[in-house]
Amino acid sequence: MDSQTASVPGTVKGSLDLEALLRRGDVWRGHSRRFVPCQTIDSGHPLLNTALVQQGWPQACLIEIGQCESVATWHLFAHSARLLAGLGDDPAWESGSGLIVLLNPPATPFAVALQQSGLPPERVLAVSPSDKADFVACFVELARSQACSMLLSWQPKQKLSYAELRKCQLATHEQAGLYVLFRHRHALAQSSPAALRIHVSPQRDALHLLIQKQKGNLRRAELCLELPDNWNIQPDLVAGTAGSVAQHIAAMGQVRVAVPGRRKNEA
Amino acid sequence: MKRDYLWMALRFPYLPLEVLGIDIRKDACVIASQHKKISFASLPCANDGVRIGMPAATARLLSNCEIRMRNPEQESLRLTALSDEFYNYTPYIKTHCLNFESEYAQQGLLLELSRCISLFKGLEQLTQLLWRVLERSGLYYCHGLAANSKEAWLRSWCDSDTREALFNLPVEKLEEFPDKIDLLKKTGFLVLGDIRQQLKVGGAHAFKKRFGSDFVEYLYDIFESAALESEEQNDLFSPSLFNATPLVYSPVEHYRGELQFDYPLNSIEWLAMPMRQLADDLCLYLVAHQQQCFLVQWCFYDIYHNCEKMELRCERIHRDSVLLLDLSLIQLEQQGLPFEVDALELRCLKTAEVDFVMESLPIQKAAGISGKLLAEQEKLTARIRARLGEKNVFKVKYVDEHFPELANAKVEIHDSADAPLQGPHRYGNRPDWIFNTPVAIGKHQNQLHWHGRLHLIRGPERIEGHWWDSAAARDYFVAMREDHVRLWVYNDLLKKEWFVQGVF
Repeated sequence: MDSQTASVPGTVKGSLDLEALLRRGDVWRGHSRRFVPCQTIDSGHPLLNTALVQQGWPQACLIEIGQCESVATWHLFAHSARLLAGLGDDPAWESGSGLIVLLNPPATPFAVALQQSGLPPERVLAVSPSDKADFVACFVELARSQACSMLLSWQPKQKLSYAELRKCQLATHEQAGLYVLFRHRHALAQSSPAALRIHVSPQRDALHLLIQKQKGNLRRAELCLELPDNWNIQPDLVAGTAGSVAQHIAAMGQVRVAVPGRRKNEA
Repeated sequence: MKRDYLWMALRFPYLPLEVLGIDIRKDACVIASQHKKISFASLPCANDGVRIGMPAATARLLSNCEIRMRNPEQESLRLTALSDEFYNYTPYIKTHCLNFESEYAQQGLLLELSRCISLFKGLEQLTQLLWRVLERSGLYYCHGLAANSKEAWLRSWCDSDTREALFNLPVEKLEEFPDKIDLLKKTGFLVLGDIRQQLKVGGAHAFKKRFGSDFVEYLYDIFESAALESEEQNDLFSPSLFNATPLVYSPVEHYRGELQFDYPLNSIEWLAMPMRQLADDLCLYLVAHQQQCFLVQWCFYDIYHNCEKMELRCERIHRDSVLLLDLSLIQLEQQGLPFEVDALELRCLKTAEVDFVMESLPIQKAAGISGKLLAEQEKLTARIRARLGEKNVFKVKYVDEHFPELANAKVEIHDSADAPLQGPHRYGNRPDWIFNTPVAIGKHQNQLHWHGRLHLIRGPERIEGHWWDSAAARDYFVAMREDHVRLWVYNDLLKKEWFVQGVF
C-alpha cells in the first residue's frame, strides 16, 4: 500500500490523500455511478449506449467480449472504429487517425467487408503472435502506443491468467484508445479485471447482449440489438419452400433450377 | 578562373596477381580470362616468353605456370584501402578503372596534389611520403605526373618524364577509346607523336570529322601543355576558361563502440543501460556524419573473450536511439544471453548518406495524419515486427478478382492497401472473416452440417469465371447454423459440393 492510502483519514492530509485516491480512474466504487468521468465513444447503437453507464464504449480500459464464435465484430465496433480513425461525421473525432489493430484474429480479415463497413484497409493491421507470451507482450506494446487507436484482440489458445489480464488492463490506461479482448463465453465465468464484460450471442432475429460487469453499475443488463441487414432471413426464402436446405441441395445438386432472387454476375 | 593542377597517376600493373598473394618476382603464375587467355603474367612467366593475350595452354607449356582466375572484389578492396591511406595527404583521389570487365584493364589511382604541396613543404617532401605509403603496401607500381589526369595516366607508361617519351607511346595506350585504336593504326598513326604531328600540320578539324569531337577533346587534354607551349592552338584547341574541380574522396567510416564492465553481467535488465549508452553514441555519430544505417551488430564478450554476435536489421536508424534500443532488447529477449557478458560492442559497418525525405517533419501532414503520429506508427510496427517477424504483421488488400479467396491479399505494412471495390464485391453480402481455403461441408440426411445444422437464409449470388484457368461457378448463400451463427457458404456447381468460406 502506498503512502496515500496509509495516511490517517480525518486529518487534512488524510482527506486530501483520499480525494486524490478517489480521483483515480481505476478505483472500483460499486454501483454508486460516482466515478471519475472517463472518455467514451459512441457505439453506433443507441440501445447499447443507454445500457452503458457512460453512454458509449469506455476508452482507456479493458473491454471483454465473451462469444462462442467470433461473430458480429464489425457490427459492434465498426462505428467506433470509423470515429477513432477520423472517418465519422462527428467533428469531435476529426483528429483521430491511429491504427486499428487486430491482434491474433480468428481468421483472415476480409478486405471487402472492411471496405463495406466503411473502414480503410490501409489503417487496419493484423498481428499474429505465435504464443501467449507474445500475445501479452504485443497487447501491452500496442495498448501503450499512441499510434494504436483501437485494439481488437482474440485470446490465444492458452488461457490468460488473472495476472496477465491485469497486465493488459494496466497497459490500457496509458492511452485513450478502445481496447477489446474477445474470449470464449466460458471465460466470462472467471474473474477478470476488465472494466466491462459483455456476453454476445447471435439469435434468430437479434443480437443478444448480456452486460455481466460494468464499472459503476453492479446490476446486470440485457439487451437485444438489431441484426445487420445481410443477417436477416430473405423474405422470398421464408415465404416459399426454397429456404429449406434439403430443397436447395436437391435443386443445386441435381438440376439448376431457377431460385427466386437469383442474380447472375458476369465474369 | 582556370587553375593549374598537378595530377599523379599510380598504375598497378600486377594488382590482380598481388591481391591473390602471388610474389610477382618469384612465382610463376598467370591470370587467365574467361576465354582462357592470359591477361596478366608474373615476371618469371614473362621471362619465359608468356605474353598477354596468349592462350593459357600455350603459357603452361612455356613456363609450367599456375593459372588463376581474377578476383575483382579483392582488387577493389585493395585500392580502397590504399585510397584511405592517401587521404592523409590529399582529399582529391580518383580510382582509375576504365573498364573493369576488360580482360587486360589495368587499374590505379589518380591523386591531385597541387593544393597539398605547400602543406607538406614542397613536392619533393610530399612524394617521399607517398612513396613510403606505396612501399608499405608492397604493390608494384608505375607513376606519372602531369597537369591533367589523362596525361598523367599516359605518362605512367613512359620510361622518362620527357615530352618525347609521351610522344613515343603506342596508340594502344589510348585505352579510353578502344574502338579508335584500330582505326588510328589503319590510318597509319602508330605512336602519339604521329597524331600530334598530324594535328600540327593538318589541324584538328579533319580529326574531329573522322574520330569525333569527344576523341579530339581527349587529345586536347593530353597535348594541352605541349600545344600551349608551341602555340598550336586553333578554334578546336582553344582551352576552356574553367575546369571542373576534382571530386573530394570520402573514405568509408565505421562506427564501433565498446564498453567493458567491472564484473560480468548476467541479466538483460542490467545490460539495458550500457546498450542504451552505445545506442545513443551511435545516433550521435550518425547525426554528426549525416549518415543513416539499416543494420547494426551487437557483440557480447565473456571473460575469455568468446564473442556472440547479434545482428539487428531495421527500417532506418538515424537519430532515434530509443527505437534501436527497443528492437535490440526485444531480439535479445527472444535470443537469450549466451553467457555472462563482460564486454559489449556495437558495430555499424555500413552506413549511407542520410535521406531526409524519409524523415517526417513535425509540421508534415499526410492524409490527415500528423508527422509525429506517423513516426510513432513506424516505431510501433518496427517493434512488433522485430518481435514476431515480418510475416506475422500484415494488412489485407482488395484485389480485383471474382473469387473471394483471390480477392483478398495479404500485403506488407509498407505496401498500400487502398483499392476501390469492383463488380459484385461492391454490393454483395460479405463476411467479416474469410477462410483462404474453403472448408468442405458435410451432408447428413440431405442437410448441410458444419459444426451444426445449417439453414440457408439469403442468396444465392452467382460468382463464376476463371474459364482460362480452371472454370468454376459458385452459388453463394448466407447460412444460419443451429446456434444462429451466420456463415458464408457456397455450392460449387461443377464439383457439386458445398463449402463454407467465411463467418459473419
